[in-house]
Amino acid sequence: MMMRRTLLFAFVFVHAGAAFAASDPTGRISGHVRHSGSAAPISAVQARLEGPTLARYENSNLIQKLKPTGRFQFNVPPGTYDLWVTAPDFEDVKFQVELAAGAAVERDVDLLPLHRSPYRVETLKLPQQMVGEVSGVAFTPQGTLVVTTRRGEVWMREFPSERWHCFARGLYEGFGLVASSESDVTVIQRPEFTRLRDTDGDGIADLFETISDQWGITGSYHEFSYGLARDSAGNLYATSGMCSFRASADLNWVRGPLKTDQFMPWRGRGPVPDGHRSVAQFQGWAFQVTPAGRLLPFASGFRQPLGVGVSPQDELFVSDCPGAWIPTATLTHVEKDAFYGHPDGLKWHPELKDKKLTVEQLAQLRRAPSVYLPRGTLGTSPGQPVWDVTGGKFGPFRGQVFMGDVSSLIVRIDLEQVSGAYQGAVFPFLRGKGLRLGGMHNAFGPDGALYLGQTVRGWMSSEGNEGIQRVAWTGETPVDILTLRLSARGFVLTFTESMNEAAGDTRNFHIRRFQYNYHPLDGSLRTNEADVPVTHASLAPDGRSVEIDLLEVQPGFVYELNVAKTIASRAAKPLLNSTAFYTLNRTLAGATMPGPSKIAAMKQAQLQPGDIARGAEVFRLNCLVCHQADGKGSKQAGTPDYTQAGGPLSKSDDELLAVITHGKTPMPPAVTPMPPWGDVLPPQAIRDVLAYLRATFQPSP
Amino acid sequence: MTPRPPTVRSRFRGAWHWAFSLGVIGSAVLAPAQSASSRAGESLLVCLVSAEAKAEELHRALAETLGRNSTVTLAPKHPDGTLSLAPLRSAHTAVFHRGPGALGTEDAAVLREFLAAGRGVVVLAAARDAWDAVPNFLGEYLGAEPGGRFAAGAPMSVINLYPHPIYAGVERFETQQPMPVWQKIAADAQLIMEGTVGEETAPLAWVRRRSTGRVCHIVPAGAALFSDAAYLQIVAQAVLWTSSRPIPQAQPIVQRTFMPESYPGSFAITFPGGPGVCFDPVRGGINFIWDGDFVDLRPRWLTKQGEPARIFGEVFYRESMWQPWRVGAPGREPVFQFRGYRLTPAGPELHYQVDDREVFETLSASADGRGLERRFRVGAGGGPLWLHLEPQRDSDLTLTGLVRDGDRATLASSAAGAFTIEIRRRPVSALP
Repeated sequence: MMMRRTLLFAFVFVHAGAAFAASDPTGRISGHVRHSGSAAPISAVQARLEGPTLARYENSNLIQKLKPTGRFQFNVPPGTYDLWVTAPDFEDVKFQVELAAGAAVERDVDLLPLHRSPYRVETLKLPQQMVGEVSGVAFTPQGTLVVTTRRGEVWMREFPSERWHCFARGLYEGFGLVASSESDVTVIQRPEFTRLRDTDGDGIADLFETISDQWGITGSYHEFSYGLARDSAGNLYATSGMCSFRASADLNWVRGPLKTDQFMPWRGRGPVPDGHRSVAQFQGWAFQVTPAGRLLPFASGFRQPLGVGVSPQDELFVSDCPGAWIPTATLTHVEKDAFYGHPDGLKWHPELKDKKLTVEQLAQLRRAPSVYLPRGTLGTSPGQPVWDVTGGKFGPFRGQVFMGDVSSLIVRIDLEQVSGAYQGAVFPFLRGKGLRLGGMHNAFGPDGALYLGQTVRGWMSSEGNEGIQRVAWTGETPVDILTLRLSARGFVLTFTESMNEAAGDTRNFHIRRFQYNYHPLDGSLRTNEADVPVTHASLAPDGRSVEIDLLEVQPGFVYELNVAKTIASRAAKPLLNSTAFYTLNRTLAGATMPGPSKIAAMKQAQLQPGDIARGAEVFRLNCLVCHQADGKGSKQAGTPDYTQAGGPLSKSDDELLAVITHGKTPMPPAVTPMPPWGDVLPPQAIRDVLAYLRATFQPSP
Repeated sequence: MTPRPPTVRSRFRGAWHWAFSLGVIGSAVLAPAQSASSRAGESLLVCLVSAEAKAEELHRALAETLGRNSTVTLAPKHPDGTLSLAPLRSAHTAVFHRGPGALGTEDAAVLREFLAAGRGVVVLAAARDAWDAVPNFLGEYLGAEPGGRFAAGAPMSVINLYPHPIYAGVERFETQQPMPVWQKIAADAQLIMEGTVGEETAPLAWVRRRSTGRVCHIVPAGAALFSDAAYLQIVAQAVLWTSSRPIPQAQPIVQRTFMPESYPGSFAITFPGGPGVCFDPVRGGINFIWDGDFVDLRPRWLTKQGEPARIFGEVFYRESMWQPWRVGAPGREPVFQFRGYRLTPAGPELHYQVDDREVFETLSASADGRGLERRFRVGAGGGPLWLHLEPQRDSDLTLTGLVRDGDRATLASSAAGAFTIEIRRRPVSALP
């Protein structure tokens, strides 16, 4: 049922947008961005606007890279938007904008510099002959850095001389590797797993052994083979991304069978919002290749799973990028034969390939990711997960997971096992400091530094954004949240240093929870967002941990934690980062489905009778374009006449609240569905607008 | 991987004809065939044409790099300061630094005669004002036009050497010199070196194989490079390549990519003096062979969406999309499984399995560069091994160790064995 709603939601907003465009109600959101202290312009600023009326765009958002003037301007339909402004070395700013039809909202943004991080970013000097599209990074046991490039080369930086040499050429887009020694490297290239060996000792590979190539590929540019990771038993792991099934897809030459029909056909009008499709065998799957070279399709449901890692406990983890059925970026503990969300790869499932599954069945089949990485704060396309096993050389975050992102960001993930499954918290770890875009392939070096291979070809400006960077710890302890763990009543935070008394004050912790839609649209906005009151905070005597109790702990939500700036170390150093997102799939008691909610009940109880004046403003902002100021509706938009006898206002309040909240399919000849405004407006606003409708539009007798 | 069913293949049969057009550019511009190996023993006469201050330094360095089997003559100067191009009359190849400059009437005629004779031309940092005697030289011979300074004179962050025989043995070539921009690069120019600064890319070297001879333009040519061993090696090997002489250290270049009319991941194998071979590891055969020593990977590498690699030269052998192997009964398609390859100085040794029979196939260029030799070692297995031979318009096949019966070649024994197939291009004069 829920799924039907989300499908409708997708359908509706695409066409609501079209209706808006037809009547030219575009408004403007604009402003300038500057340094909060000096008011000087800031370089590399990005403004991102996100909202339900942008559902026809990738991830329902619009992105502008600002010119040196710092000016941004979005001309968009009326609605409610989140505007994010980000820049390297500055704190993100996010605020909500309500834009009425034809209105102009001007808002200047001052950015605060980030606190100084005790991690430095260094750029490795590469040989001039090496095109720095670095697509894989690994170290041999002897400490030699080995990289793959998208040009099909494998380069080695010898240890300790740091002299580079080209170990191999001629591969088809290597995308990751495992380096057993200076003469034995295994690579995942687009068509196969390949073992490269230097058998004559000249430092150059001469033997290329195909380990496995038993999956399908096409000529589409956007279907990559990602990896590579190896467990202690010698099994290799990689993934296959889906084909970008657009006009440019070259499907004339396909290795293996070809299936272009969707497993779950798009039922909305217009083109499929996200064109990624599993047209060749096992696209959207994770593979295991045994030491004997046998390929086992391991798990399904991925879209562009470009990060593949094996934990120190030999568990497979895969990151995925948002799009259809993958609402935002994820990191997932992958278990054999499990399904992780995108249904198109099920075409190749031995038992499910011919089944006609409903969305509800799919939702039940789907396993939740270990963590969601909410878009914006935590990037867009996460890369390879690597575990800090440096023994403290990288700072205090031993055992935690680090992932680069295409958007010049490194995130840190603190996983825990709860009721037998992994979930946990994600923190922004490093932005700015010269960190470049495209760092999706990572490895810890023998020096304890994190090395990032960077490539952005075709997606972003390559200027200075390709190559290898090294992130090293200076030795100074970062003041940060070390872990965020679930408790029976809330969360327990630990810190890297002793914190001041403010950490024992409930008012300094703001927690908000939300969910994502599981749907075929390109990504999902947050839904069912609500503040979660913090009822108690107890700081340990040593100041290193605090227990915070919540009004309720419900599974099935992402919990966003924001810590007030008054919380600092006892040496008065501020927290480097005050945000975390905990994906709560299971409670300690093992519950996976939300139960009766005090918060929902409280919100219901807090609802007031509808306010006509506030309702008028809600109507003006959100409804007027389609329903018209006189309430007579629009043939073009397919909206009814409120003033007509027997029209919509003849229904009961409960019926109308349900229609406004959940939307409605159109009655012929109308073609435009009513959007489910409950995903956008708070319940009180829906009551207000109903009050306005009742008071303003009297049906004719 | 199971081959695609015929019904699917047949949808694209029309597209296969596109392969025939691969050779259209090549047939119009190919230099008269004379193999590199056939000229290996001949002494090479090179004329260096330079009016620049460092001419003698470049002369000494080039002569030393080319070695004993070559004679490099520096064009002398007339009393009026113009160059005498008399040495061009006997030269196999000329190296022009910027250009010959102003010439007397007789020298200008010698130059035009040389250029028309189809001999090798290497140009270092061509300059428009140095070609008064042949005003159309840049556009017609080099196939490009100068376009000012590149990246405001910033040094290259990347110098990309695309696989080509003239880089044989060159481990690293670097320069911090600012470069000019060259534009309007001719369609038949094979871009073999590019420089990058930020988002901008500039062509730094290209070659052409024209009916009027082979041409190579190398844009970097600052005085500091005349003592750079890697640079001199590139120039010397450009001299050999434009002279159609073998390049001593040159080896076959093996690149997997997305080739035209081939399954993704196919091989582009180019031999130093030709030919170029597309081996398809999915269907298990050679999709086509072309008369060339270069494949342009930029269409695949330089854009987000990418196109198949670009072939230069005339295709003279081609197979259909069908798998060529049969085991046991002549009509039964076996399971083909690619296993990998080994690089050897002669050419790659491909390893694959046809049902249960191990096959090692070594590809090498024929001695005159006009054909391909396929040497097979086959392990023991069940039943005879058949190879389906397709009729060829532009090439002849010679089989050794196989019994030919029409379009079938058979290794009858189930025991291990060996055989050879030589594919030779028919003489150009025999082509339509």
